Amino acid sequence: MRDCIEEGVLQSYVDDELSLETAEKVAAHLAACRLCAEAFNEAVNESAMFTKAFEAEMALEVPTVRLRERLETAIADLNSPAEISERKHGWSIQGWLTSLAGLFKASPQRALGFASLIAVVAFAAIFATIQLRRAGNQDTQPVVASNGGPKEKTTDSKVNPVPTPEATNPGGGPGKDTTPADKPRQKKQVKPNIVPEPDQLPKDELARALPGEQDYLKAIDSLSVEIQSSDTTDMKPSLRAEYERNLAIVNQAIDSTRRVARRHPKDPDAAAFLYSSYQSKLDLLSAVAEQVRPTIATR
Amino acid sequence: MSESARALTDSMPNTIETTAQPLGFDEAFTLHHRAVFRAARSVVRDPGLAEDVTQEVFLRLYRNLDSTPGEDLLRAWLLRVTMNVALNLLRGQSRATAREDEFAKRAETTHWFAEAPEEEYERRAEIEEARRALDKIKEPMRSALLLKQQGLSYREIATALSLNEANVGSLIARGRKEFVRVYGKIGGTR
Repeated sequence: MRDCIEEGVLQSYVDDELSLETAEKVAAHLAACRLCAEAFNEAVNESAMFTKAFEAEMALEVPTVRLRERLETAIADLNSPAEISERKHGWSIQGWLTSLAGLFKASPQRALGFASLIAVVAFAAIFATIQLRRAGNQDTQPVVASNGGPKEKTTDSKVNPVPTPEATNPGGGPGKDTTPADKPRQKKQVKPNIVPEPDQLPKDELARALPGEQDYLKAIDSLSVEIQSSDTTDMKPSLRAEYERNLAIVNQAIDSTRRVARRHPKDPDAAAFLYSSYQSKLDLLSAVAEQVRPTIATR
Repeated sequence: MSESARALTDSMPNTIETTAQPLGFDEAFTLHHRAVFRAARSVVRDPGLAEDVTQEVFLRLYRNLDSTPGEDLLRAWLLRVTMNVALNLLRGQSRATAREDEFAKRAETTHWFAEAPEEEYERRAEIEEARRALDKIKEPMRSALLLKQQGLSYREIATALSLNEANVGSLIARGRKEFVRVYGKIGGTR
């Protein structure tokens, strides 16, 4: 018993941590001492049990790729201190903004902004597809358009752009257009006018307009005028419905994003939302203008 | 995170200019990131936090490449930093509510497994049992066992935990006995 192996040494023996010399001594003792041999067996078994207990844990995934990516990013940041200080600066401003506009950050307005923009993009895509399909048919249309009818129409609309004569007199224009294709068009004219209202800001709003906002408004205005001065009643009913719906959505998007942008004039996201809703309207209007332009060209 | 984050930002201005044997660093990452990550995960019990710890550890290596020990003790150095960062993180977190911990634990376990539900449950239970048993063991036995589990030698364990190498064997022996006793009680007699 006096020579018996201390538990730390025995554990070292189990773990193969002893020098060859010491290990040989231990082995010799184990062969001679039943008690130590039992302790050794127990140590071996328990060590195995310990390892087994952590098998599942050790089998868990190590996210090597993500760790490497994260590390590479962090090192890149370390290596460009200028960028870091810039970003720190940016963060402090943003922090200040957040304290200012903290409530806005997670507000439903932003969600609404996102939602309406997504809707707008989707409808714009639909609209574009319809337009493309229509463009294919246009080869035949100019023949009709070069008749006397459209000429008169355009002069009419020039004089009185917003409500076209047809629109004010649903049954009107007798004898002017007698083609059967004209019937659905006249039915449509009872509908509320689709001609876009220029996106005018109220006077008090003007002062608070964001930089660049005026440019959008000007562009939208000129397109609106162009569409107004031409004949939108020439559109296919389905196309016209699409356009109305899209315009309503875009206007709604502009309204909501503008409200948010006014409330948080320094939030870059809010401005970005507003601009992109303007852009959507611009896109929509130019698509429509593209449609009505041929009519003008035939004047 | 606060402490390590502060340490990180504090040391930012005097970033060591390394023409940094990038191969050495890459090699170190390739060889040791698993041990670092697993050790961190054993301490912080959350894969996301373990990632944070791992990143911090290797960033420190990167910044101190020319003052870190040679290859033979690099892993010990890394795990020493790992244990420190992870424990600091936990200390900073200990004020968090128990509910949050519970939530994190649940999120963690659901996040980790994507196998068949039964197997998932069994493995989850197995991991939980082992962890609970390890939790019952006092320091420094617990950390010694944890590092042993990651394949560190006694010398590395001694370096990582600032222990006398001659004591590591008995610490492991005592820790292991205690573990088996507790683990048996908890019911993990597989």
